[in-house]
Amino acid sequence: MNKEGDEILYESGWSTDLMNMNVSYTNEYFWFSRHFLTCSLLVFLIVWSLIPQDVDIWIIRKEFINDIMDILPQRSWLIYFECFVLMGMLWVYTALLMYNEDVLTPALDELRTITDAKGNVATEDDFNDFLDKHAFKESSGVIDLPITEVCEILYREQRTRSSKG
Amino acid sequence: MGYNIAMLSDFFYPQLGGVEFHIYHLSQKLINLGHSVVVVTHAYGTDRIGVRYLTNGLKVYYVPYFVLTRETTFPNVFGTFPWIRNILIREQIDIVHSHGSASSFSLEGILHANSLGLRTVFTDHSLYGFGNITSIWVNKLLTFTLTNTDRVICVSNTCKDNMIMRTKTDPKRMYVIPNAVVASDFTPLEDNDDCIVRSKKKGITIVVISRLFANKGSDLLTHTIPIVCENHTDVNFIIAGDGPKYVDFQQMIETYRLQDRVQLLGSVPHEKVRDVMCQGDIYLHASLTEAFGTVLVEAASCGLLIVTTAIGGIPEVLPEDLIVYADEISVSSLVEATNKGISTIRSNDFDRSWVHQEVANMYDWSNVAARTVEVYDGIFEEALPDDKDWLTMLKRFNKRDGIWAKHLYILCGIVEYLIVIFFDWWYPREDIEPAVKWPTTKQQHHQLHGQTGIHSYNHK
Amino acid sequence: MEKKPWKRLLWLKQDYPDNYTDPNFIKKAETFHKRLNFLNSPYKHESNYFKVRYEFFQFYQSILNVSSIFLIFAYIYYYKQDPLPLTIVVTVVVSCLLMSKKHDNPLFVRLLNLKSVIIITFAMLTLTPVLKSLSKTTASDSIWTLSFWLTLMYISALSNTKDKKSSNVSTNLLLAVVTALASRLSSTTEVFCFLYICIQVNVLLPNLIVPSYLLALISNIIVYAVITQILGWHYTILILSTFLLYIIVLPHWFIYWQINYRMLEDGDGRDEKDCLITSWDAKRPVLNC
Repeated sequence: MNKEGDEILYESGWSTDLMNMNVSYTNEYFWFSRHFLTCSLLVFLIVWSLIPQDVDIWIIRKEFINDIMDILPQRSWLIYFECFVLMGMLWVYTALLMYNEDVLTPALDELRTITDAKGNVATEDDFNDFLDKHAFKESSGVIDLPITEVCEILYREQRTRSSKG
Repeated sequence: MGYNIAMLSDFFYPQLGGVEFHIYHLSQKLINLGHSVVVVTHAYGTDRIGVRYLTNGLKVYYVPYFVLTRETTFPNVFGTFPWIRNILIREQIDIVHSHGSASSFSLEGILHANSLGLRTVFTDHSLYGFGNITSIWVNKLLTFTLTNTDRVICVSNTCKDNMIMRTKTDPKRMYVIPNAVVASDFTPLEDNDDCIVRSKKKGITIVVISRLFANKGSDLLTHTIPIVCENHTDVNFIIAGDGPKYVDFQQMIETYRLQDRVQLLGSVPHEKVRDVMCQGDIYLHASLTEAFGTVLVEAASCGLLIVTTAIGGIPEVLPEDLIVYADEISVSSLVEATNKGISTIRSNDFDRSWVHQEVANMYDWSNVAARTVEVYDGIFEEALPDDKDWLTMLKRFNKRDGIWAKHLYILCGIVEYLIVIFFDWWYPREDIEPAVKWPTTKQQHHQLHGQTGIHSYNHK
Repeated sequence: MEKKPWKRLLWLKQDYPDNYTDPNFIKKAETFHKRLNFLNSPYKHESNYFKVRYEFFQFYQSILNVSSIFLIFAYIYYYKQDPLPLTIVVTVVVSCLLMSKKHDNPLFVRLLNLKSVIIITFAMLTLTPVLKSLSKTTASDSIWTLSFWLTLMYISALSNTKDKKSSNVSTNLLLAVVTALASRLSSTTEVFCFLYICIQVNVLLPNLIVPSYLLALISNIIVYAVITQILGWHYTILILSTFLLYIIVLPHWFIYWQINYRMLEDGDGRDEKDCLITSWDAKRPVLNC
């Protein structure tokens, strides 16, 4: 421990409390036990699913491994479960893409791709008014522009060009 | 020529809230400054889906996507890639600006934009703790996302401090740009007669507008209101908002027989908020956590005196003469502060005439947009040539966080780059048709198409 | 002209760039990180290690005590030994300890104690036949599984109720374990003796003895000798090395966890305003009045 660290340590009364064992760790043991159990479970599951049953490993004899395996449920269930989780993830990714694409996406000619119940559509009789009041002016509330006018503004040039050509 | 900016978030109109309005108003002002902005969000309801154009040519993509809970899409790191790539290329985006750390759209969007070599900015609107599983999860995700994000914007200094602790991002890359309000939507009651009426009017009205959740301090309110009502016979309450604690307020009214003095309005549409605020003299705020507190600025803009708990970013938001703070987060000090507020109003010490203009000068969206553009400019000025190299980005992941998280980050990064390569082969960039951009001004529109077109226009 | 000092206010237009960071906060964060730095962390201090190891050891001792239930059970059930001599020995030891403990207490306390001891003993005697036949029809394998899970619950209850002496959840769970096992014994005497010893060893002894290394050593020797006798040295080494790992390695792991994962309450733990990490959590409202 370096000197600076010590200074910081002693300037707070907390660390002296710690040294006098005044700090109770009951709460921390609880959280650590969770951390510990999760980590151990992970390691245990990995070892359980991978350990070979018919060879001696270092000083651990295969009979001993077999004894332990007998106590535990059948190993194949664990392997099924792991495969299920892995394939499930793959399935979720593809299913999500397909669900978005095939169920949630409406056909291009459906009305809801153009307008909806929440839409607050701007209407003006004169196109010039529309340009002044909505197309190039902000509003503090959210107002939709109608699709015909939008196309008029965006694609007129292309249309005139193609008609000329 | 301005930037092509994409605003990414799970939250946008028709949902109403701080983030949603922030995106909308910021986009509008950016368009006014000559930039092109598209908003990308998920489809809302069954019918708000596809592309919508809003006033000023703000284009919004409502992407059909599976919504998990509370309008947040299903988080899965890579799933959004195909269509985000498509939109970013189609719209020739330079900068991806994401909003909200609880939104999987925005976080995933930043990752994809980085892998595609685009500049990225992230704005955070809320505070997160460290002590529960949700915060840990969000913080890890954010640490991953912000590793290669060029700039981070926070809505208050408290929010920035919080971000520094959560994600250990370099403070130099983090900017504080507050929210703003549309001052013209939050005007006090205008004519002078009305002020006279108000001064003659008997009693004082206290307004509360808040979602009725535990973290908005509804328990404090249900304990405070009866005490204030008992102390002052001429004080009435208006409570607007809905939430799981609504029942508690009903019970409070029943128990203390306050039916005549406490009005429960339930949920109020956003455009009516100003009208509700203007019925009152004092705005009471009891939130237990708050990054910025836009509602306080709105209330101040309406000319209300504000009584609030001093938590999070609130002490930064308004000058002290507009606010009465409760010293502690307790019922007794909130009652004390409310009493102080009431006596200020009674003695006519609170001059509300100048407040509106003052607040309007402090918080203006044009100012926010100008400062945001400065942030954008800074990205390009300080950019290094290898900033968006995949290898550089992987190296940055390697320097982050703990040993497990670090490796998971790198793994995700590599998978992401493989996906990019796959899509560049499967759906080449050249095959994506670039979208026609909205003309910046009416003049530009006329130059492009000529005046003649207007006469042939036939409105149906 | 000198620049005005920066203020932590959003409404004020200040002559500082937007990415200016509150210097106070930087200082605070630096101290925080220095304090939690692996080398400087107060958790790294030796005394912390000793404290943690001591407490881990105590928990290990209580698990050892729990394991005695199964050893006694094996002694009676598997080796078919007469439990009476053992019961008498344990009872004598416990009574001696009881007497010596309560030496300075007034006489009537001892009498009261004696009275309740007699009441409990007779209650147990009455209940023994019931306990014995309670789950006689259940298959032995079910009993072993049941007692395994009950033991796990008992251990977790033990670790949870360390501070709250008044809670009797752990005692009830112990009785449940013993009852489940007792149904396998053949005579009421055996059931009674088993119950009697288990209660003495697990409930009375831990409260009577001031934990000391000598006593710990004795109980360890007894338990491991019996384990070797029953299961063979192979298992003894396995169990012993597991517990040695537990006593030596786990405290280090715990401290590593404290330093790296446990970031809460970084201040003095007394003044909430000093705590950097908890300052962003939703505050707890005080509902006084």
